[in-house]
Parts: sequence; C-alpha cells; structure tokens
Amino acid sequence: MTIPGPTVHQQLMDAIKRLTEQLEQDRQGMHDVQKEYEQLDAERDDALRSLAEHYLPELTADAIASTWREVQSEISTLLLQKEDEDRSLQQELKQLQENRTVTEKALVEATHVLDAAILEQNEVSTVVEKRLQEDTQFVELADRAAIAEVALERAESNLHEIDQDAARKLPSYQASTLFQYLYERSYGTEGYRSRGLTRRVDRWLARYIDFTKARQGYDFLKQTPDQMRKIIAEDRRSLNTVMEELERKRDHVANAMGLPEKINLTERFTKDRQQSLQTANFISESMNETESRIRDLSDPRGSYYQQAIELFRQTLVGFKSSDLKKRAEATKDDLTDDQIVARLSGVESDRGDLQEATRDRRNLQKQKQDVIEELGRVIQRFRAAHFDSVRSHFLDTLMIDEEISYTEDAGDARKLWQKIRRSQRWGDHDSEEDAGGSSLKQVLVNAMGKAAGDERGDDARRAGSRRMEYDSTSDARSAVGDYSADSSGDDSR
Amino acid sequence: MDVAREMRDQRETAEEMFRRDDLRTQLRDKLVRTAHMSGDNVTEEEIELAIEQFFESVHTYQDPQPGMKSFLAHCWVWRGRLTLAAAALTTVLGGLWFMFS
Repeated sequence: MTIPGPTVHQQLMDAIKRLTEQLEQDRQGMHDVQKEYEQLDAERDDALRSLAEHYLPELTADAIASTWREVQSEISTLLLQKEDEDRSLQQELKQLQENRTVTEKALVEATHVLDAAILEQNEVSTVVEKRLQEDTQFVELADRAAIAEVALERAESNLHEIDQDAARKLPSYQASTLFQYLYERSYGTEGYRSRGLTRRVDRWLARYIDFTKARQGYDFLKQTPDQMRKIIAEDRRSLNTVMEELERKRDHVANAMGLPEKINLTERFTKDRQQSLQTANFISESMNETESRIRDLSDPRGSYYQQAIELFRQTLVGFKSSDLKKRAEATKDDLTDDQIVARLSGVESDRGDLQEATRDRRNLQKQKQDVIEELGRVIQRFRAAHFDSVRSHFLDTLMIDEEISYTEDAGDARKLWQKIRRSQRWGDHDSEEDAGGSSLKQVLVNAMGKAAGDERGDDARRAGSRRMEYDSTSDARSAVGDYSADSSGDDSR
Repeated sequence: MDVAREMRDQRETAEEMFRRDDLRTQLRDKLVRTAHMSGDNVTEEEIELAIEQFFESVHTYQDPQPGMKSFLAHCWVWRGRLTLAAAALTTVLGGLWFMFS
C-alpha cells in the first residue's frame, strides 16, 4: 500500500499552513505580554510612590529634615517656592478684597441712581399715556389700528390655507393633457379663433371634460392667492399709515413732557450699572480662584507636596531594590517601608520572570519561523522533483503529520526531506523515462530490478536507489544550502 | 371695461376668500341645524370631517375614466403629432418599396 504524491504534497501544504497560523497566533499573543509589562511598570511606580510618601509624609520643614539626604535640598527649594507663592497670593487676596469693597459700593450707588431714573421715567410715561387717552382722535386711530390688525391676521391665516389648497390641487390640472389643450387654445374666451370641424370637436371635448367648471376652479386656484396677497399688502400699508399718525401724536406729547431725555438717561444708567456688575463679578471670581489656591497651598499634601513626591519617586527609580532593602532594614522600628520594599521586590521579580518568559517565547517563535522556511524549501524541492505527480508514490511508512509534530528546528525539517525522498517510488518504468529525462542512473535501477527477477527485483531496485541517494548526498555536501544540489540529485530519477 | 370688470371680480373673489373661516362656521351651523331637524345624532368630529371633505373636493379636477371616448379625445389633442408620425412612416415604407421593388 502506497500514498500518492499529490496526497503527500497536500499534507505538506496543510502542515505549513497550520504552522503559519500557529506562529501568527503566538505573535498576536505578544500584545498581551506588552500589557502585562505596562501593568507591572504601573505597580512598580505605585510602590515607589508609596515609599516616597512614607519617607516624606508631608511637605514641612520637620518632615524634610527627617527624610533622605539625597532629596532634602531639592524638596527644600520646593518648600521655599510654596511659601513665596503663599505670601504673594495673600497680598493679591488683600488687594482684591479692597477692590471688591469699592466696586460693591459703586454698584449700590448705580442701582440707586437707576431706580430713581426708572421711577421718574415711569411717572412721565404715565402722564404721556394719560394725555394720549384724553385725545379723542388718538383713541379713534388706535381702535382703527386694532381692528385692522385683527383683520390682517385673519386674512393671513386664510391666505395660508388657500395657498396650501392651490399647491395640493393645481398639479392635477397641469398634468391633464385634455384640459391643458383647451386652456392653451383659450377655449371659451374671446381669444378662441377656430372655426368649422375643429370648433365642433373642441366643443365636444369641452363638454366631455366639463371644461367650464374646471377652468373656473383653475383660475380660482391660480389667481386668488396673488390677489389676496395684493389686498393684504394694501391693508398693511393702510395700517402703517395709521400707525405713523399714532406715533406722530405720541412723539408730540412725549417731547412736550421730556420723555425721550428721561429714557436716554435710564439707558445710560442701566449701562453703567451693568458695567459695575460685571466688574464685581470678575473680582468675585478672581477672589474665589485665589482663595482656592491658598487653600491648596495650606494643605500639607497639596500640589507642591505631589511635586515633591514625584521628585522623590524619580530619585528612588535610580536605586536598586537591594539598596532600598538595606535602607528599609536600617529603620528597625519601622516595618512599613520593609513591606513596601518587599512589594517592590516582588514586582521586579515578576518583571524579571516575564522578561525571561518573553525571551523564551521569542526564541520559540524564531525556531518556528525557521521550520516554516525550511518546510517551504522542502515543498519547493518536492515540486522541483515532480514528487507531486500522480505517478509518484510514497511508502505508507511515511507519515507527514507525525513527522511534522516531531519537527522542532530547521535541522529536523531538513531531515524530513531525506525521509520523503527515501520513501518515494515511481509508478512504472516507461513513464519514469518519459518524465525523468531518461537518466542513465534510472536506467541502471530499472535494469537491475528486471535482471534480478521477481524475487529479488525490489532489493535490486533499492540497491540502485541507494547508489542514487549516495550520489545526491555527495552533491549536496559540495554545495550546502544550494538547492541546485538537490535538483541535480532529483535528476537522477 | 372688461379688464376693469375682470379685476373687480377677482378682487371680490379674493375678499370672499378672506371670509373663508366665516364660511366654515356657517357651514358647520347649517349642518348642525339640519342634523337636529332630521333627528340625526352626529358628533362634532363627524361634522368637522364633513366640512373638511367639502373643502377638499371643491375646485378639484380629474380626467375622465379611460375608455373609447377618452382615447378619441387624446387622439384629437395629439392629431398633429399623429399625422406627422403617419407621414414619416409612409415616407419610409414608400422609400423601401421603391428601393427593393
């Protein structure tokens, strides 16, 4: 029982595909390793920060004096900066408080002045209104204007309805060929000129589609909205004329009472008050900001403290875990720092393990890549030797999947080629010659097989093949890595 | 004079349309009255629907239903084009007959 060449070829192809997929999956898995690194780094930073916070619990002169000497000078500079800023903010706050007092006073005054001006304006307005109410002509004009306004609103509402009606109903007239024919010929008007048969048929058509009624509807929908718009425009002009007259009368009385001056004064005072209000708000916001900053500075664990801790942490980054451990052990009464250093050591140990695992994984990937490349070359040789032909057969002892599972490196993959070649057999003599280019060595193998007879034929063929393998191996040795060596061996077929 | 009469008519129609809401109210009253007299029990919604339908149907146009009359009417309207098409067809057929006979 033998395995056909195409089947072995397919098995090799499947194997290389499977290995490539495995390698790709493994490479994708490296992203998770990166995340693990980031997490460990974050844990390390956190441990260092905890250690820094432990050695510097607050930003005060006493705390600085009792912390590490390596960071004392820099943190003392930070403390001085903080005190400087505090002093400067206190001065600023004092100045803002003074400004706020002044602005609030100005705002109160502006409000009083504005209230008085509004009161006065209202009094004059009341007098003006009273005088206008006493004027009979003004009252009559006002009534007319009110009535006209109501009528206009009603007209506009009706126009809107008619407009919608026209938009909905006109398309059916415009789409009708029969109606448009008669309408364009001005049927039913003095403009219609046709005589004789045409006139008679047109009359029949007009009766057929009830043109007279349709034309009335069409004209109504076409002309009425425009006509309504014209009437509304005229009515509005009339209303404007009445309004102008009313305004003229109002201005006459208002000017006589000095109302425009009062209004101007009120507007000016309103503007002044608005400005005062804006200034007061601005000062108030600035004070809030300053107070918030001062509160932050007075907090011993505020923003300056965070800067100091960051500085301390950066210094600690430069120390080895063993040094940190020694320092922690030196403080015999204090166990907290020992615990933090132990945590830090644990994180660093995990990081080391992860680095080692990553290195191993990369090596394994490299090996897999080499195997895939070598397997690719094996397939190239396989094809070059026409082993994928239907005439090519392999002994059933060749199990590609099993061989691949045992293949660990490029060397194993190279050995696989030797196994494949040893297991390979050709279907019959004639076809071998046809395909193989009538090699003398193949002739020898076939002749040996036939000469030995049925009993020893296979042994003789194997002996001849062994000779061929020996030749090709020696060729391969003479040109390592050069595939032409293999192909020369394959030619021996 | 005709133009003046036409313009006056149009204005009157337009002014009438300004009272369209009045017309709607009158129509509603009339429908309610008629319903009471005939003893019909109609709701406000039904009356409103009837008025809407009335305003929807007024001034609308629809071509007659398709049929022989409609076909003849369209042939009459398109007589010019039909004559031209017939003449063109005759010319082509005559030309072909002349060339191949």
